[in-house]
Amino acid sequence: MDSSSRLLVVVLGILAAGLADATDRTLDAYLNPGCPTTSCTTFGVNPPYANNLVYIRSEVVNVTDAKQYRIFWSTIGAPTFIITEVSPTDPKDIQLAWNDFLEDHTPEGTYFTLYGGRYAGIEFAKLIEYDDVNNTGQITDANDTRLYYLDRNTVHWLNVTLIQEDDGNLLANLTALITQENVQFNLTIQVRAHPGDGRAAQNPRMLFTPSSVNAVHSEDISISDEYSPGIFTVERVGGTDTYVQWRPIVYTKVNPGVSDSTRSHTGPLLPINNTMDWTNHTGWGLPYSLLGGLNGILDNGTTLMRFNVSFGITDDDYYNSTGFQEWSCELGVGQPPIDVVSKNVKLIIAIGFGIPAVLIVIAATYVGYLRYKKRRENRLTLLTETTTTNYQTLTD
Amino acid sequence: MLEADSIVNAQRGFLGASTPTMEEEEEDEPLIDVSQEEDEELQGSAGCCYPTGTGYRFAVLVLICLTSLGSYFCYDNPAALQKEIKNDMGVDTTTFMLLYSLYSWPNVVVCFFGGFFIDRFIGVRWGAILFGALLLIGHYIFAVGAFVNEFWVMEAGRFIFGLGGENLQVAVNAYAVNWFKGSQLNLVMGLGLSVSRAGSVFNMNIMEPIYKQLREHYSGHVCLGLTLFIGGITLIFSQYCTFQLAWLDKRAKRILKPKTDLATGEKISFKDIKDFPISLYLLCLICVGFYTAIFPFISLGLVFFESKYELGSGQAQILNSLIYTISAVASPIFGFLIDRTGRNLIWTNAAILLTILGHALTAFTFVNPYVPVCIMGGAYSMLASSMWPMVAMVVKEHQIGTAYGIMQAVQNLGLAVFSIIVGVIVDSDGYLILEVFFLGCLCVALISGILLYIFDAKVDGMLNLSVAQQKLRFDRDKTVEDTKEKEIMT
Repeated sequence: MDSSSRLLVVVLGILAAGLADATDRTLDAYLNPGCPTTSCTTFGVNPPYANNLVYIRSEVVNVTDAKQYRIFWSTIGAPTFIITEVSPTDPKDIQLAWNDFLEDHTPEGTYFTLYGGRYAGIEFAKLIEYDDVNNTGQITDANDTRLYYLDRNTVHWLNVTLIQEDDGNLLANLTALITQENVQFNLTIQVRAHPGDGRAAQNPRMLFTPSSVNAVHSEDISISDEYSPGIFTVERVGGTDTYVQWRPIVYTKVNPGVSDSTRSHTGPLLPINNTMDWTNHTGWGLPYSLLGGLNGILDNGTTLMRFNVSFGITDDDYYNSTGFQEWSCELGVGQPPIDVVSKNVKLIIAIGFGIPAVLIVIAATYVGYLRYKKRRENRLTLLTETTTTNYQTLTD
Repeated sequence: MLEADSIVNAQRGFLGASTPTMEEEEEDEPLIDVSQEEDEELQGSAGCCYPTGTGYRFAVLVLICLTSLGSYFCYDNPAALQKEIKNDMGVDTTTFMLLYSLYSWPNVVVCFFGGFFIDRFIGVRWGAILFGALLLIGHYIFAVGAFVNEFWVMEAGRFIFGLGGENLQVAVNAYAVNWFKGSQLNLVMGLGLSVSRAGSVFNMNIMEPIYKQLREHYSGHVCLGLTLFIGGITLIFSQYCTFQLAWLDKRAKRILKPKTDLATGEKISFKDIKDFPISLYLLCLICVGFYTAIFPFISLGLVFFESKYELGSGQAQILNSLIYTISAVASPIFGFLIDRTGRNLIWTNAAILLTILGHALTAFTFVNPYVPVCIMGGAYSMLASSMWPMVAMVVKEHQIGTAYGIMQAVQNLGLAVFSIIVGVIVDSDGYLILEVFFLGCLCVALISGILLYIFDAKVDGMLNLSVAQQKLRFDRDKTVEDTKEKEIMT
């Protein structure tokens, strides 16, 4: 099975706003800040492969007590995305022991320190590809699978492309070539930081606002699929004030319609320990990544869970027929934004029901009046006829 | 799209209308000779062989229903064999959908002229025979196309099939109005819908097993062609029914001739169309608004039920076909009730309101989906049984075919256009907005229904009269006609 033409796109939204007006929040991005080694810009045997760590300061200007956020997008090892809240009065910057992290890395080491309060992070550790010969959307033969560890040996990341979009969002295109056992395919992760409330421009257009714990996997069903056609459910993994959420849909085409999609399925939440065999990739520990190097990540105060998200359902023919799939999720701290019926829809419904209701009243009144008028005319006619008859009787 | 189209034409049977052109010159030529002796023998009797007898009318009713059965059965042959056609003929979904587009779009125009053609020139008997023959020929060209593995021949066959399909229903409804106006027309319309639904369901369930059976001996396009040949047998049967119906109608005319000879002398002309009452156009708006909220909903319903209610495909399929299943049972019942109560307009408006309720429940709640679907199924039957007979109440007898033709043309146009629009809405804005769109269409239908209610009250029309009031009105009109007749005789 030649997979060279395949493309997996993961779209990730990082949420860091909401308490301030969008126009007041600034997003300042830095690439590999403070990195003293050339490993940051050149990595691997074929430049321009690189290590990318995008650091973003999300701040509100001119408001002293507004929340400040720090955002990290890393492709050093397994791709990792972290958002943390920092004190508005003492916002500190990143502290990362670059040399140790990149070169003298040990599994138990801590190289990266977050200051401040709560944080949420997500890491994509591996991809599993299987030949769905029976078109069931499920792995039928565990031996017939390919496992791609998103580590430094398998994945080669290109230099990140950072784009400041018109609406103030900061977009990063993280593109990698995955090579394993003569199979190659492309992985693209598009990640956006949002400066304020709003909604993603692409399907599923998820709502965003800003933003431990026993993480749970939950599903919210809404009556509205206005911004994610065909999908009424939001799946969420999170604690009391951090979350990762997504619509269980996988698009199989760029600019998709409802028919250009299939479903994703989320497996159960499972624990993570630090027993991973780094050489053979056995166990369920944290792989080499920014999250794996985070100071305090294995403390009791942090909840770490792992779960699988599989793409495709029975009879959807989705992967072989398109060679493209796109899945989106969003990560944030605070309460997750929840979709409600939009004001426009409410207005249309009010008008749509209001006009017929008013017309019904008018029609009933008018028809009642016509009947009254007709009855009155009949009575007058009868009266006239009777009077005439009486008159004639008298004259006779 | 497929389902929507199928529904467009699923309505054909009822919508079509017909015209009482029994007095057409061409129709005076004997189709099948009935001896004068037999006529004389029958005259004055009131037995089952007398045209006004229950047995005779029942036979006509059965034939009317069976005449459309083949048309409905074969119309949805492509849907029943969609996978097989795509595989055996090597076409994609878009090309496959041409088989329905080639039927639907021409009928936006053709059924209008078909109604006029029947009214003005050939009359209902030859109309039914001619259009039935077009169906038969079209379907067998379609089958030959599959047999010889030429898809363009199949497309040509579907086009010819479409020329007959809608117009046959105009003729069939003309028969219905001719025979049952003023008595059990609502019931007959309901029964027609019921039989058409049965034809569709029968087709959906039997064609694939036939194909699979034949596949043991034949393969590919040959197997497909042979399956379609077998499906065409229903059309041969329906064509036989058109002859039988014509014979019974002709015979009735002969026997009853002295009583009806002067009843209709008028012929429709194009000038008459501009004088059609506003009621007819309001009925057209109701028709488009209502059916837009039903047929495209069904065509998109499968994915909707799977997405919103997280049903498996089997259960979603059952739910999605429930509206038709209910209509097959409920339509005659509602027809019977409306025949007993009259007040068609109230029934129609009630059906629209119920459908609004059904869609609102579907859009804004998570109530068990069987509840709104059952409401919609009942409302659909209620509307079909009450609305189509109203056409015969708002135009003159010699204009009925054209009036039904206009209504069908508008309906076809509306559904063809809205089927495309709803697809775009779902892709860009999702099912909630689609439901809001359907509610909007229903509000347009309701507004039209209310305006019709006002208009009918103002002109002292018949649409909202009880059965007793209708009977008084018929008697009064008949007295006027008899008086005119006597004056002419004098």
